[in-house]
Amino acid sequence: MAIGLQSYFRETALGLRRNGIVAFAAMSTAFIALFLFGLALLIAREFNLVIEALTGNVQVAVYLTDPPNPETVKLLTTKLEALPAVGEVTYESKADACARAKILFVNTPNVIENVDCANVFPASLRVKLADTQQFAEVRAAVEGQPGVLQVADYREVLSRLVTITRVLSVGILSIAIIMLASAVALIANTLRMGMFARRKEIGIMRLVGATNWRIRTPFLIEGLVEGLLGAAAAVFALFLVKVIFIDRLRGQIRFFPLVQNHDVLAIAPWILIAATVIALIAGTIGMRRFLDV
Amino acid sequence: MISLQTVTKIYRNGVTALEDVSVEVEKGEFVFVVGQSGSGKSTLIRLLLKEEEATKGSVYVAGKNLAKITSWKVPYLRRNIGTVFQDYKLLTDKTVFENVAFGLEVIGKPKHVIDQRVPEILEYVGLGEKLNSFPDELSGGEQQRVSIARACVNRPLVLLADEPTGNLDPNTSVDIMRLLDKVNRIGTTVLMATHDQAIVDAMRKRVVELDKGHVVRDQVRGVYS
Repeated sequence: MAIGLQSYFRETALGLRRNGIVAFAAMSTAFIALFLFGLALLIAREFNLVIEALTGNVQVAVYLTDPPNPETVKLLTTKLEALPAVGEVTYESKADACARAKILFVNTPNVIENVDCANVFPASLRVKLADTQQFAEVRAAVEGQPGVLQVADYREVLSRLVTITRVLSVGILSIAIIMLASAVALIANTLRMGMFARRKEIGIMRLVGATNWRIRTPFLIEGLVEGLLGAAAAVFALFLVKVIFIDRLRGQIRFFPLVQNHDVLAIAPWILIAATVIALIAGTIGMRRFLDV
Repeated sequence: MISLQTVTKIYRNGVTALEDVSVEVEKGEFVFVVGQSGSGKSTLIRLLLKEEEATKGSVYVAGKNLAKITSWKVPYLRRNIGTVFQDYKLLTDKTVFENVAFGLEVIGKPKHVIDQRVPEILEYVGLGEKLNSFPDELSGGEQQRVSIARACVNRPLVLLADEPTGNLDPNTSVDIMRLLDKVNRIGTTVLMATHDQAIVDAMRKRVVELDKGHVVRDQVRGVYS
């Protein structure tokens, strides 16, 4: 097996060297495609952070008077849950609220330091609506009830943010998909050229009884190497974007949390998976007609 | 070892290459298939390698019905069949040793087997001294010996030779025939397509003559025509 693997990689290296320029073109396209793909994921992540921080992903918040009385909380929760328009109700204690505030003001630590975090943010019941049209019903049910400080409606903000996220990431994703398709075509083309250059060798391999997989694997590996090198470059470029553009904003944008290194790391596997998928599709397309027995 | 039973081959473009051909070849036989260009010799060889499939009738090689071999098993069939062609089909960027070793490498033979068998077979075909030469540095006859070595290195049951002397002068052709005869004597079934009259007449082996896709003669110890 060791010998087998070694000879696969030798052939792959040879193939890459032999059509270097075409392989480079394929790799660069894969890089750009995967970079855009990663960028779309990163933007979606950024907006999710913002949404999470601003609204806790909640459409209606029912703020409670201080100090929250467990009896009242229970009563209000039951009341809310009984409404058909309400999907889910969660209780956010003062400590939870403080923790969320800390995330929200992560770029301006002095805001947190200068207030009495544990006391200043009110506890709340956070409501996800099953039917967002029925907000009035929710408001009517709890507003003015003992223990209720205020009912806040986040539907507007939330839906606007969600729309922006969607438009941006769908836009970039569609460009990425076009680029990914060209990456597939280019990688398939390099493989096909490589096979054409080695058609005599392939002919002999078939004659002496090499299996199809024995013949195909070096080309599949070649496609994978091209795709994965593109992916590595894309991940690196996303880190650069984070360092050069996003880290610079960190001091200037006060109220939004920004993506961190671990967010870039979290999308890296997706980029690698995408690279593998495009390489495999390219391999299937590139080798189809060429290698029937 | 080889059996064609009422085999007809019609290509997709409508050309009938073989029609109702029946030939039996026993283990260890040496058979010439003769005929003009276009008589169906090459089609016959392609059928035996399952590069083409018979339109009608059945083809058996080494006891296997080729129609029943799934495409992923075809390589394993071919490991039992050595092939030699008019144009040698050698890789010019590999040495004699590497060309022969290539045939074993790609079917996954381990290195110690390759290192043992390749010099052995090259010695056998008379190229023991030329392991490190490149094909361009060899004469046509020597190149054909390399290709015979590659065909035989995996000890096939059957050796198929398609015009192996087609590019060679008469003297060299005789040497190649001696070698094929030698391969035959160790038990390999040899089927050779040719239109080299002098050679067929000199060897006095079984002759199957094809004409326009029909077997018109099947003669033990025959001559060309």
